[in-house]
Amino acid sequence: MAEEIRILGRSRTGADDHALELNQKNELLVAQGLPPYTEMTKRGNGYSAIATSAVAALVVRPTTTAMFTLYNGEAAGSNKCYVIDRIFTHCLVGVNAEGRFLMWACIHPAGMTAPASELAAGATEIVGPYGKTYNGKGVLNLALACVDNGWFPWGYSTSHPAAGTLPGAGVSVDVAGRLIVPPTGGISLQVVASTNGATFCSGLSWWEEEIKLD
Amino acid sequence: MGTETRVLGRVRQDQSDKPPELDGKGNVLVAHGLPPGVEMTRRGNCYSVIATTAVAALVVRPDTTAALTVWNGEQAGSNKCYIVDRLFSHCLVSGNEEGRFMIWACLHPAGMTKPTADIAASATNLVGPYGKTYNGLAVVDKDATVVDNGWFPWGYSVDYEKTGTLPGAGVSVEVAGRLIIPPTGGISLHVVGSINDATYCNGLSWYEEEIKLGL
Repeated sequence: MAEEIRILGRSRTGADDHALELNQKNELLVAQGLPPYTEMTKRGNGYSAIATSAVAALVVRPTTTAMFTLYNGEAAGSNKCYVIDRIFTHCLVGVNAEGRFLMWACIHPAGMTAPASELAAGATEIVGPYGKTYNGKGVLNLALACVDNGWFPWGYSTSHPAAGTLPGAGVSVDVAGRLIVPPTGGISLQVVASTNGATFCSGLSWWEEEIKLD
Repeated sequence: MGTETRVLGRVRQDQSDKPPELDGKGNVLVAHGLPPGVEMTRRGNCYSVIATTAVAALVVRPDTTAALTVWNGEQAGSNKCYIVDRLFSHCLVSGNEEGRFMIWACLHPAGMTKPTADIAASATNLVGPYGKTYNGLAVVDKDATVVDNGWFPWGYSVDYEKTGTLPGAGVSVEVAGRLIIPPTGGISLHVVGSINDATYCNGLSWYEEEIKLGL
């Protein structure tokens, strides 16, 4: 029979030790110490990129045209993955009618052809946490002809205004690690809108982490 | 084979000792003892500020003009960081047409010039948790001219009504620690709207914590 030990923890509110507590279903009771993303942000491996120019949305389900692509330029076979945190877009120019739009994303597996680099690391368009300059191997591309590796919608649609540069409409979707870009893989974003001609600036945030994918 | 040890926890209900349970894959089953924000709020380092007057939205991507700025006035080289929890804004006065708006934020790295203190600690506009008066070193400025350190959108855009003081439209975005302001750094907020005569009251909530960045 296995030996039994009782695990004690040190209480933050006093110097005394307490047994870890369970509920009536013997589930371990836990509490959030810091806001959930603090630890990841503190480590300094989180980056954000946003397009410098707007691209027209599609009015059809995406296939081989991306609005915004991030390529993981780490060496094939390494474990440096890009863990996607957020994807976002805003409508820069509306067209003749009000419309709705929604973000779509596509993960490209390892072995993707490296795209042209169209967005350089800088102080404004690709930034790190708390002022850290981006020094990774991510490659950003706008309006790439990509392989269709399966596109899926993310977040909620919202509406954009009619006619003009009225840039108030946008979305920011919490991906929270549900998408991971392996080395030599990529992620493409696209906006699908109700009306042809509306243009969008898109971007995303990601963490660069050593993760061994199964 | 190694020695097997069964870990026990104390059942809160009857003080008996039981092993924590696992699911069929061996994952430890957990339950939130308290809602996620309770521990941080209990510690008393959570603060919120909201602008006392409304500022017109931009109708262009932000760069060097901020609607609201919070500067971390802790000593350079110290570890007292501001962990951003929420951003929020509401449309106070709208213009001639319906429109949409969204919050944008820009994080300024350490070494930012200290801005003007436009909003003082008070019981209504810069407050702590459960009635605690703000006694930190944050400086809150409105309409500051700032360095463009990269602006990014947060949350979802929403619609607002046309014409008048119709303050029902607003957003509150959970940042949840994704933005951390180092000592002598700052954060700026702005609203990008579809129409340039709508005005907004903006604000944010943050925790002040000792954190060594980069580890």
